[in-house]
Amino acid sequence: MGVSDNKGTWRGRAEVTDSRRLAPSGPAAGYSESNQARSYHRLGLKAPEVAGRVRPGQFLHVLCPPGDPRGHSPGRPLLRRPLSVHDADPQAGTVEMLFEVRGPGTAALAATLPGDVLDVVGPLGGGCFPVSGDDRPSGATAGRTPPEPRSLTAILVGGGVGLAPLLLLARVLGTARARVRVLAGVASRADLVLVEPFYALPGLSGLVVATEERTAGAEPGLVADLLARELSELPGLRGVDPGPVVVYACGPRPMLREVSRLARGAGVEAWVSVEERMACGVGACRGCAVRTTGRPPYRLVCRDGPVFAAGEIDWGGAEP
Amino acid sequence: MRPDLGVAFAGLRMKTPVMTASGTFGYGREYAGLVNLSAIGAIVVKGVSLEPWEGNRPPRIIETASGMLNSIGLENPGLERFLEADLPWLVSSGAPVIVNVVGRTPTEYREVARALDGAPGVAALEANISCPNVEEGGLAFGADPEAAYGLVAAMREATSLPLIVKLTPNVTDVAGLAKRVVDAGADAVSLINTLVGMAIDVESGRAVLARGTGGLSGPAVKPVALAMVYRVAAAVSVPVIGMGGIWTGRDAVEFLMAGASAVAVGTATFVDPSAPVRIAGEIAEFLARRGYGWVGDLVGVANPGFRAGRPSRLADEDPVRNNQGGTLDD
Repeated sequence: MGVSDNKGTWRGRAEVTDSRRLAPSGPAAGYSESNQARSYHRLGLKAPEVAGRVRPGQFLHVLCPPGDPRGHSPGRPLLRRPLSVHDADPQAGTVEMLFEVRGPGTAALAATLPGDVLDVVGPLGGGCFPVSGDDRPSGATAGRTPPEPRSLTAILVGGGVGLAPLLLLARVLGTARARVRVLAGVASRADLVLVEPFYALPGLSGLVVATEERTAGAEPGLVADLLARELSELPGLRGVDPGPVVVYACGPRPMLREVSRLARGAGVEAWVSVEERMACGVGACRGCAVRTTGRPPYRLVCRDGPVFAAGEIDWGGAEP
Repeated sequence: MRPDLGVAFAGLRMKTPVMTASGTFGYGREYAGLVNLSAIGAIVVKGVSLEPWEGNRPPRIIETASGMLNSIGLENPGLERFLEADLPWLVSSGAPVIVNVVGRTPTEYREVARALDGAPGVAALEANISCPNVEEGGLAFGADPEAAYGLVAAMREATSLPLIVKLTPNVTDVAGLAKRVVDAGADAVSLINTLVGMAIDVESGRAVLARGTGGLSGPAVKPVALAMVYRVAAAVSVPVIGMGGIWTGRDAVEFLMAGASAVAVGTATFVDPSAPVRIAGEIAEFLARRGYGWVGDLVGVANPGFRAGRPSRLADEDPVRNNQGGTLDD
């Protein structure tokens, strides 16, 4: 069935518990068309209805302030913005989002203060990062038995702000006692703020960082290079059988394409979270189509994704 | 006294004058749980074609000032799948269902219309001759009054259901176009579909949408839509359904006053899934505040040349049943 209803989806008002800019230097938080420096923002929301059941890779569809759905004027953001869930605390009933300030909508979200209230729909996304066999869409493993998390080596590959949903994934995998390795790629030293939350995560088996611009403490180059090395070392990893290996990735499309190619070459299962502009977020408008190798060719990022089996995506046409 | 929102016109019976706009509400199921479907006046589903259509290459959408551009390309699972899965589910939800029909040729439109004629639960058909995002069909028929006439006449032969024709604003004489489709047998006209528009990514030097241009919707188009409804309601004798950027009850009242017997809400639903129900409530608040007993009393009051069809009160018709056999008792 391609169509499912959204009866499990919550829509309500979520109080902002935390709203802070992550970039350590540069101009004040905000968006300008000439500002080349990236600005990242972390937003915490009180949303127990979401925190208790959000799965890694899912997103919230957030109305940009002023929060009144009737409020609109020229230049003011109109549509909701999809934000992937960065972390969740079911006990506290809070969720965190980490996003890049890219335009007027995300700038308006970044301008919120604790105590403000946002209109939120979620969790959305029919395809999440699979942690157990139950999470895998039927047929996605093509006859293979999905590995038990306890025997699993999970390689998480994040590029830039694509690292955001991997934090919740790493936490859930760690709780399920998988062996979790994180490969993080960012452009420059200023973007290392995106990696910091992973240092605080207990029980990571490894965390390797690559920066395109040479930076102390990080390897020069692209995160895909880290993955290539990681995969080449797998078979004889200190003489120890790593057991089943699964790659999970989120980042720019060229990076995901390379991750997909490397994983296929190594015979390793891979899952990628992809991005498209979105209007409704619930599968009604068909705006966020992504081309796949299946029939019919288009699937929806909001309803079928945002996470897809890497082999399902038609990577052709991704060249600029 | 609670104002009466019910309207009957062109064989349609709606408990509120607010429907969904085709292409913005999927097949209803996508919004189940986020809005009470049975409280919506009528659900107009996404366009249905004879065979499945895969739609256009992405990117398909982009937000613009007070609006958005789309170039979906009428992606839909086709008639067979619609009849087997989508329609029965939606009919069981309790809202009157209006099926938007698309095709590449008059024959395809006619075949879909014929197949839907006997389908249980279909309250009306809406001929989509106004989509700007496909090579064949859509606007190819809707921008030429004679082609539109031929297409509507072909559908008219194939169905006894109420036939609504959805008009494009991308013409110089929308009233003349409306008259031709009424001559061909349309029971009502709906307008506007999206306005052709475009956005360019100046960094890459390329159009944002893969297809180059798309259709503009949202608050940005509302004044244009309102003027076209105003003109058409002064030109045709059948009821008019108004749409284009409606966000609030006040917006909807403007369309009713311009001469629409009902309105449709589209882009607003993406932002506020409850918009079709919220806006009906806001219309009721307006009626109560201004002392109107019935929403139909607003139709055409701001249009001195108004000559379009008017709705009648639901209560005036007995028994109170809609086409799927359900009782409208609210």
